[in-house]
Amino acid sequence: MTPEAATGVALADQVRDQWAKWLLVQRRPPKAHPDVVYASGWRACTRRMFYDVTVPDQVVPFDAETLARFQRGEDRERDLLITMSHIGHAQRPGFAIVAQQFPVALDGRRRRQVIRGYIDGLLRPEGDHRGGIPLEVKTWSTNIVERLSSFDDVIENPWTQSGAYQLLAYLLGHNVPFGYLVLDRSGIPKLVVVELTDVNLQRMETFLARAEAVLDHVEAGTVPDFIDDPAECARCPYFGTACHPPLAAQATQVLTDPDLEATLERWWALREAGREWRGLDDQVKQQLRGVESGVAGHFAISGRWGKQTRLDLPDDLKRQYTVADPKGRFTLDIARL
Amino acid sequence: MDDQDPIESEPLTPAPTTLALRDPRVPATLDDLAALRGQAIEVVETRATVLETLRKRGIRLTVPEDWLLFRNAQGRITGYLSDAGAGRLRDLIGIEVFDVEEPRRLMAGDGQSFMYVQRASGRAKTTGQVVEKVEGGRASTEDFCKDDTGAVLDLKVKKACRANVNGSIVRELAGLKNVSEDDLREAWKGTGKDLAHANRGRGFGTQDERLGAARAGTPDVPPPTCPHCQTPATLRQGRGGKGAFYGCRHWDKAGHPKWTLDLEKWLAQAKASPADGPTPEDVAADNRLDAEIAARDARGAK
Repeated sequence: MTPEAATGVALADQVRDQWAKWLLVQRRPPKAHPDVVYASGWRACTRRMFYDVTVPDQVVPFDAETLARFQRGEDRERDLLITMSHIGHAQRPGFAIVAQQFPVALDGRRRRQVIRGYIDGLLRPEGDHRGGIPLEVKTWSTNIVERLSSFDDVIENPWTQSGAYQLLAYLLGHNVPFGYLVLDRSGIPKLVVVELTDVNLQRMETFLARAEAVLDHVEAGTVPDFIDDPAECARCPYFGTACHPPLAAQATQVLTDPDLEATLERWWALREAGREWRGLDDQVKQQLRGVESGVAGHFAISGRWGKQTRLDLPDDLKRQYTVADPKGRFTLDIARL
Repeated sequence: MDDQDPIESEPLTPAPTTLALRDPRVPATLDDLAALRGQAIEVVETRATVLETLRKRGIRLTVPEDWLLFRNAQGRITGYLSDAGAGRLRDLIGIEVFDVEEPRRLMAGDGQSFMYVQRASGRAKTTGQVVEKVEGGRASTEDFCKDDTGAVLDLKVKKACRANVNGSIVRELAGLKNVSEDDLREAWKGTGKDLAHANRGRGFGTQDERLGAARAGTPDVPPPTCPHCQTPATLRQGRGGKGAFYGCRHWDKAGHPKWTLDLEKWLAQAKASPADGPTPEDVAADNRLDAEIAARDARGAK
């Protein structure tokens, strides 16, 4: 320890700096793999998939903080599989975790291998001597994982959908009907079931076709078109380095109806008064509930009880009839500037 | 009349209606406005109001940290919107970026430093305004990449260059190249956003002062020391009407609880007599002595 590291704060700083340097020293630029698309390489943009296989070194290298997160992910993957293995041995009916880093490949047209990957492990239930259920361990941000409870959640989230496609590729390549995404979290990990349904087989068709298109572009020396989605470009690590796309934009609607403007002005003017009235209305109704006949100052009060009909359904039945409409609710926020 | 009469065969463009002309995206000539007679002023005012509202709404979408403030010799403060801030309001104004050229790498005279420059054009959907071949650029000597070298430095500068082109186009088309502090305060009214959190550039003292060292107006007394780790405290400006206070910037790394002391309390202690305890000057002198002893020990150890 150097003399400068005499105080606790300085020592802590020094260890942290050394940790960061150690991670950065081990950092290696990713290598191009123009002959195949990795199973983890699903991207919404085909051009980005193309860059992943041809110029992955055109991404700004990860900083120490991100490298530390990756290392934690690798450590957790190893530890989770070991723990699952122990559990499988100890419990009945038991299971085993076998074939870690099991290779899987998918061929496209012309018998060309287009997608390749390695399954994290196979879960083999007791009594099954041949098969195994593919497992893909993910250590995504805890905030994201807490919002994922089904396969649909995983595949609809732009930050996690490549993991969903990755496991689908393994299921197709290994020819098994279902597998598990093992999602690490602070408590017991989540096991999300992924099945090769018709919809998911269709998704894999798309993945294979796009992977094939990427390899065709590599062979022809051409580049796929830009994607017309600025949100995707904003997430893309090649934006500004290898890729310089034009950016489209939504524009705010300009509503020119003078009647609407007048309505809004009046609405704004009455807003505070309306809020106050609603508050008082609630208070009055609460205070006078049950008063069938009364007088207060200048006010005569009369009320009456009436029959109320309501459906008192058990929760599981309610859930059965609950429908989620993505455009069912519309929230307005209006400010006068 | 002859079918080939040029006047007859000229296509007729219908004049825009009053309602349509209220939209700033619809081109309006003086003739169009003159034809409206009494309604022309109302139309012009509406178009101006829409643009003003868009500009204010754009500023509202930004956060104080998106702005770099400059103060001129007359004390007038204006804000410069950063590239990251410009990205927040690109969709609001509907700014499209097109004809993007490949970035060019230019070497500096020292043979080591370099910069990337890039051009692109832009169009605002809400106003119809177009800017062509706007140039952006970033240099390898800037603060954001000062610790980087090699491929990392090259990629970071190139990426920042593209962000700068986009930012320049947005600033130009949104009319946010130089925004007065009054405009910023007005647009942020009721949002809790505070100009005090904006970054400070030229006109706000030395670089060290801008980064949090003693500023003009800082009391002429030494700072207190943190009771947990004994390091000199840092003066900070309070938010939301709270006054300035001292705090320890090592609390998280050193693992001790947060500690703060109001500036006013510290100044009151400074005025107190030495009989009440050590004055700030005494504390500062002790700190200096401790530092000298530590440095001497360190030299001895070497």
